[in-house]
Amino acid sequence: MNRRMLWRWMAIFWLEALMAAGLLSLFGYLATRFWPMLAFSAAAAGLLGLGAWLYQGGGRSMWIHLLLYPLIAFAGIAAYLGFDSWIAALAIAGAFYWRIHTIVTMRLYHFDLLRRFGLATLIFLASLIYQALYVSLSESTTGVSDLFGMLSVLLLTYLITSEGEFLTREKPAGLSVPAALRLRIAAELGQIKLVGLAAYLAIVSALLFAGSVLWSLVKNPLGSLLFTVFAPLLALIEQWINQLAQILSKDQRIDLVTGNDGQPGNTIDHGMSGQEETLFSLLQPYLIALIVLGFAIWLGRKMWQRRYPAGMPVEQAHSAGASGRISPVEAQGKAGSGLGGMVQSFMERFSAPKDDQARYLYYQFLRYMKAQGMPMQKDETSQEFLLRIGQKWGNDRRFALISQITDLYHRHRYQQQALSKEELAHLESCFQALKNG
Amino acid sequence: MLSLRQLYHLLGTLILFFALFSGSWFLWLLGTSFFALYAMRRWWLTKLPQLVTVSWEADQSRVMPGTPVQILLTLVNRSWLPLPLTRLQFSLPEHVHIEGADSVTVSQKRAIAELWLSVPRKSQVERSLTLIPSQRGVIWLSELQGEALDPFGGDGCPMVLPMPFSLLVYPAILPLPSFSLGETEAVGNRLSRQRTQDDPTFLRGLRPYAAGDRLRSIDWKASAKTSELQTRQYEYTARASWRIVGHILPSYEPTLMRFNDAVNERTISCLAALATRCRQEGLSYELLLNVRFRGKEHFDLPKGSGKKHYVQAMTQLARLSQYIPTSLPLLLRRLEHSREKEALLIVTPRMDDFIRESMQRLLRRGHTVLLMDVSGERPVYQQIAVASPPAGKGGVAR
Repeated sequence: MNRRMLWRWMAIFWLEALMAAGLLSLFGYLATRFWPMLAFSAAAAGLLGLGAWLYQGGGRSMWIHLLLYPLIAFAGIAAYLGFDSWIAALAIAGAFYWRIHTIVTMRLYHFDLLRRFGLATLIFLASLIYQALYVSLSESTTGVSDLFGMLSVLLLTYLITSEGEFLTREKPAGLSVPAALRLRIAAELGQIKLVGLAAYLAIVSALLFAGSVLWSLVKNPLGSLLFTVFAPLLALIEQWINQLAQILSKDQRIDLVTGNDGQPGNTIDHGMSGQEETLFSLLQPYLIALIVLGFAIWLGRKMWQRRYPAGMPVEQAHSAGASGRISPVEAQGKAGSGLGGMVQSFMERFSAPKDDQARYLYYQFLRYMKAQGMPMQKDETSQEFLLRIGQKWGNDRRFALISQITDLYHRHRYQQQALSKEELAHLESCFQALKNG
Repeated sequence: MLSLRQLYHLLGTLILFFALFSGSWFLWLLGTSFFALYAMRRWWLTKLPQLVTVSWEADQSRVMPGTPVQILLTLVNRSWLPLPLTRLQFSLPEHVHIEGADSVTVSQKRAIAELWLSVPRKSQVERSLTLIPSQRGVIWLSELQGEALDPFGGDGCPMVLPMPFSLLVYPAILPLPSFSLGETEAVGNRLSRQRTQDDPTFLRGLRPYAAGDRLRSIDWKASAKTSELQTRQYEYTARASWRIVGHILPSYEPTLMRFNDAVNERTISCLAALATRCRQEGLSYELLLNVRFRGKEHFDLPKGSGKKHYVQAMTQLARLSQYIPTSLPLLLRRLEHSREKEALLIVTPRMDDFIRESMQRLLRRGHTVLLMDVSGERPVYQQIAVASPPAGKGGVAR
């Protein structure tokens, strides 16, 4: 194990530790605060790195490898003490061992980093949604700003680990860059990144500020216009819903279903008069969930279509057809009824297919030669077969016919243009002459 | 698996969607950053070939096999971004031995060399390489494949750096057996009325002016270029002149199921050795090969001697590839009808009855024929004599 491999493992472990921190904060095991999440990620990445070293150190010494298991137990105990849950402890210990075993034994590529970065970002975004939509309703403080910090750390560390992955790719032994050059390049790279980041923040902030000023000017007139256009429609929808609620409240079967025993229940109609919240604010979480669900379904469908494109089976059929294998003749057209149809279908099975007559004739020639006691070997080319026939039937008249058949077949098989009608007729006549002796 | 573009666009769209609802300044910045990263990456990939260039200088362009060629490769970075561990890759034919590269692997009959160069911004870096070709032919390169660091989160920045380079490798000189070219009666025994060294039809070179040279023999153009008088040297008329005929076999003979590349290489090396010997002895010769060349049925390098003719012959032999062999007896049949008595040196790896018959016809017409048999590892020299006809029926030898 060398430093290059250790660095590559640590890059993966860091991203996975961030993912774990996001998941734990989403499920409430970890406080959604910036420093606890960052500290957890750093500690988890450090433990994973140590575990990987112990795992790989087993290549040299079994005792070093065995130290991995106490480390796993330590991670489980620490998780139990930290989260006060034996399920979480078992899960973390299992995941700890699983990730070490997987990452150390696999070959790491850039898309491994990319995939983990994407998943970690989605996890933090889900946590952000949860914090913004639910936690903000029940608690006075939320972790939204802390999650902003974690997203920034995630993006910046991904860019750094991506460059590190490129620099630590496998290279020939003995290749080294002088330390002075390395420092110089690192300083230049850091400088250009800082300048780029500052320029980006300045430019985009200025653009966003300009946009917000523009929006503030346009918002009121636009709002009035939209209200004028949609208010009657929304009022009409509300009226329909109220009428529906009145009808449903008069139907006793609804009471049986809802279990209210004839008492007025908390229908929307009755509820609306006593509450200050509007219909839209009540439906807002469901609408948002519906939009997110629809988006997830659309995304899943796109991913499925990309993975299994519809045109693939057709292309495979085309490529199979272009290989030019001699295949049995298929029945052409529909067989008629009765004996005549059976005879016709029987004859059609042995007639040359119109699309490749030369090949089928050569196939018949091979069958004839097999019947004569000279089958073509599997690893024999047509030219070698001809030479073998020549050794046996060198001076025979039949050899001249076979030479012509082979020559015409070669021209059909390897020439750019197909044989002409006269050449096909000549091929057939040679074969017939050969059969007739 | 999503590509970088798809992932960036997906995350950027999601975050901007949340920013639209929340109005958060940070989410607007973060969401826009994904689109900006991808746009910057695309811009960088288009600008990379202009900002990063490579140059290749070789100390020789025409060498014999086994001669090392020193190459100076320079990678120039005109951008503000440093390029650490930029990988450059090129491939040459398998027979070329490459020294000085960081990694050389052989795959599919190509030697693939890789270099890793670290270039700071606005700088250039140089690397020395040595190429040692071992077979004749033209070695050429048109571009280098490269991969540089991607600062925008991608999997490296691929680049194609144009770099035209060609190296001509002459054929190896085969050691010839000892045989004499001078003893044989050759063209030019009938002296012309002109002085022996003054056949103005063929120019064989230049030499500095010596007192007594005719004014008409001075080459004024060359004199202007060299700033001193140069006198033309003409072909000798009373010197031996040979016709060297090379027999090239088809690359693959399906009826015999045989590849003839190694045999043809021996033939070409033998022809190169003969050209070298003629150059050393100052003999003029005409080179004929039974390969189709520029629409003609055979290759014909007109008679000549001197350095220029020698270089031309060696260059044509070095470039001989993808040839279409024609009939050697047909070529020899044309030589039979020459008005003068010819001295023919036939280099062949295969003596069949047709060639023997053609040689006999040439001998009967009074031409002189020498045979260099290259069917074995070493060429074998044979002087062909006229074969005595078989005794006729009823003929009585007295």
